[in-house]
Amino acid sequence: MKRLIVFMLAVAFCLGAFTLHAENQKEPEKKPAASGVCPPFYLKDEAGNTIDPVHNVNADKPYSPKQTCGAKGCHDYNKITEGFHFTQGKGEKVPKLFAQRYNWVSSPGNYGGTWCSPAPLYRQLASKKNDNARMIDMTSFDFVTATCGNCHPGGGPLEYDREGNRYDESMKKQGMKSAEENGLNGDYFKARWSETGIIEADCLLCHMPEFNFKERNKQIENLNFKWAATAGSGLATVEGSIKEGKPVKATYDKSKFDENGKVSLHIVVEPRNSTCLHCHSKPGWKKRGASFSPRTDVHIRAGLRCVDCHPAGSRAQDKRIQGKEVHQIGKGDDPSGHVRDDLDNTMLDCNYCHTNGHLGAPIAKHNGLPPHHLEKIACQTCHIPWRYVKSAQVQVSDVFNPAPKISPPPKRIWTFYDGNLNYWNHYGELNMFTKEDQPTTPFQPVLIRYKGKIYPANRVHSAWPGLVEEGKSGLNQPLMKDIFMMWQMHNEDSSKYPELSRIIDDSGDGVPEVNKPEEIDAVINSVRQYLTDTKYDLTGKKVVWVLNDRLYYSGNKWEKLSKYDYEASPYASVYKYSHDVAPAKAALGSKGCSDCHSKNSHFFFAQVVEYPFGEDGKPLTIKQADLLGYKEVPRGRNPWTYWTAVFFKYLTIVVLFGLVVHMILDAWKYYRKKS
Amino acid sequence: MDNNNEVKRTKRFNIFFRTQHILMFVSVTALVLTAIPLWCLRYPHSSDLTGIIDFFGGLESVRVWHHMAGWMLTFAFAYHLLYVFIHPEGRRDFLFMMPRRKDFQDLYHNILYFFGKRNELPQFGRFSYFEKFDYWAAFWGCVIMIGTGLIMLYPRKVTALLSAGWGSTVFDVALEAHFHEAILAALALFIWHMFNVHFKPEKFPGSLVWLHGKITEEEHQKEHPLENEEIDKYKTFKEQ
Repeated sequence: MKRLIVFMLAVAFCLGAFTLHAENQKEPEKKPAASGVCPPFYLKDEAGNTIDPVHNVNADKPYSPKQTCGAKGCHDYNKITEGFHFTQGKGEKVPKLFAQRYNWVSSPGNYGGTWCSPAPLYRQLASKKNDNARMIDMTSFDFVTATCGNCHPGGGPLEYDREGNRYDESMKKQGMKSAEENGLNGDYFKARWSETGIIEADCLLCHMPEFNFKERNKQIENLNFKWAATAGSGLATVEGSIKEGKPVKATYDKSKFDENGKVSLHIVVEPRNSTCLHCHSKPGWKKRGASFSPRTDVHIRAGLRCVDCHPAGSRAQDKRIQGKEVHQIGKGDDPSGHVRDDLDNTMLDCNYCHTNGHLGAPIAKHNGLPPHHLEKIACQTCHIPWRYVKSAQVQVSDVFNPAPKISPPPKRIWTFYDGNLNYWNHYGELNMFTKEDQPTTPFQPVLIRYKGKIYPANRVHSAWPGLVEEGKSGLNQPLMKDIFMMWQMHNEDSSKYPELSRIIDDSGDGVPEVNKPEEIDAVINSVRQYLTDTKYDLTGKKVVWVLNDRLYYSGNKWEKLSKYDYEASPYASVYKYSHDVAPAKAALGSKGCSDCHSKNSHFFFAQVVEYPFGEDGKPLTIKQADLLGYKEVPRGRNPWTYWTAVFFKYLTIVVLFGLVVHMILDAWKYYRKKS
Repeated sequence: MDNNNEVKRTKRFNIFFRTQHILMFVSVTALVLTAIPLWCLRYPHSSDLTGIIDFFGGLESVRVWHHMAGWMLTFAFAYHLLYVFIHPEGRRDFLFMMPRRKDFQDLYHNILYFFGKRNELPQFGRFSYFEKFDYWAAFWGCVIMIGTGLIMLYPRKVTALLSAGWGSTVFDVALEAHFHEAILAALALFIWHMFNVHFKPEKFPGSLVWLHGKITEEEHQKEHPLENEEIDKYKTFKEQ
């Protein structure tokens, strides 16, 4: 019996030990890998097969970021690509305001949204279903090639169609043919997805500081979509071009692989400023005059990084965007930005750092400043008193911009004027000077009242030919290429659309502007004629011209469009300035209250543009204080303040009435007695 | 003003009282003057009113002068409180300043006199009802203006003493009260008080009692016929 007990105990011990050993064996698989640093890993192709150039396995295939970084046990590709940088508005409901105003929009983001530039006219995403090829402007495929893909990190609308299917697989499945009409489907019309592949979210684009955007974009230009990530990573050279019908092949650089065929890349958790600015600096320049340089920005000068204020994932402070691998990057709240409005103000704001000293920020004291200043005026208003680089305060889309170095040519349909309302060849400067050589052109920002606070902003003004549509509350826009072509034809042969010759320069800056009744008529008539000539479907549509909040049916007949006070136009953007912050010693108020409370102050008495061109070509302006809606100093609206005022007002009336009556009677009695 | 040196005069206000009054009218005049550009701040969008701020040398200098005058008023008020607590005449006059039923009867009597329903003016003690009104208006004014002024001068310190969220409300209420009470006080002083001591036909162009503290026997008999009786009563009361 004893032997049996000993035997059973021995068996139980062995089983326990074995189980424990087995558990220990399993443990490393269960535990997540130590975070922060990627171990050497195999590249995978789209099908999930290993790419091992060292052992010549699948060595000519492009790697798939989705299969490689999103491999089991590594990163959650689906969660990551829910980020708004990837979706760009795809799948989001059109905001009510958008639906009321913009007849062409299908999302609040760049993909199907209002416009990419500060104002119309811009390319518009075609509807999913179409019945006339003439009316299709930009398909989902064109969205990639129309330079949008140069910055778009992949995933979202570069990967899946509007029904959630992978473009390349869907084309094959539905028997669609490359570069053909494909049922005028807005995702597949003339598209070549089945050849080009799709663009997956490219992790290295942000997380590898040495990522080669130029090489990536070259592949996109050649329509080598699925090879773009491979070329951009520098792991392989890609030869061939779908666009030119040449077979495409990747040749990996074996020196970047270890003896097992794995790669160990320089991958960082937080993208560098240069990575963010690769995409954000150009629009930042045009829209906000942002330079993001130590010369202009106290935060860049202090060595801060974009991600310090715009954190994401597990580093985010706001619960709405917090979570491992959540790629919703902390953002502010721009009046014209409506992508994921529910995530507005998830970034760290000025107050966060400058009240608790986060990252060594100096604590803001504001001694002697009455508290309502901080309640009613945004930090940026005083701390961005000047902009040093131009932004586009006016974008008109009704004349032909003849200036040099504007590329691609359809962009000549936009003419820009800077913060001082001088003509600005933005694309020429972008081309020649780049961000490194932005010319210095100081101007003081226009101030707007937005959500109860005063902000410095670029309140963009626009003028453009539009379309009124029967039964719809908003406006539509003709296709950008049509207006460009109309001008192109007129410039080549002035007998074509001859009325355009009537549009002349009145302001003396050498650039024509539409500002007189006959010029307005010339635009409307010429656009109508061009659209009719080219069989654009004008059924139920009327060509109009829109200047800010004025909708012109003809040179002498116009009606007012509703808009917010902070907008110059319901059809142009409003961009708050938040970057290029001046040091406290240069802020408004640093020289005293008279920085604002004096007769020459910009804050109240600057003349800001209301309409860019009057009949003499000169701008029509209003007083800054009027734009801000000043009647008197806005008081606290709480009941305590209200009743205090009521009490003292009535006390004054009653007391003074009694005193004055007493005095009059006193004097009256005196003189009566004397007489 | 009476230039006849032989006219008998009686002492009405001692040196302490006169000093308080001088401190007060100097500070209040400075406060009212410097409040003009500050009032203009209520309409910062008006270039004319902002021009007034510029005319006064800008907001900073106006604020400095206003605060200095405010401290002077605070000193005058503190001085007065000390005078009332410490000095026998201060205590006595403070009691005489207390409103009584007779003040309302005097007001009624005076109104009847104005309308010719009575032939004689009411007889006043040391302080007439309108002088008492002046005093209590100034007293109330000092409490409100100094209190709200300090709140606005030290918003952070005040906020630190309050529950969260009340700082801004208290500041706004203080600002509103300061603004309105300033108007009431200035109008009352420059209309009512100036009328009673300067522009009243029988007073014009005014008395120098604020400087030397004396009035003529004739004035005393006419304006304060019951003062001596009142003082005697007070003494008797004290002795009891």
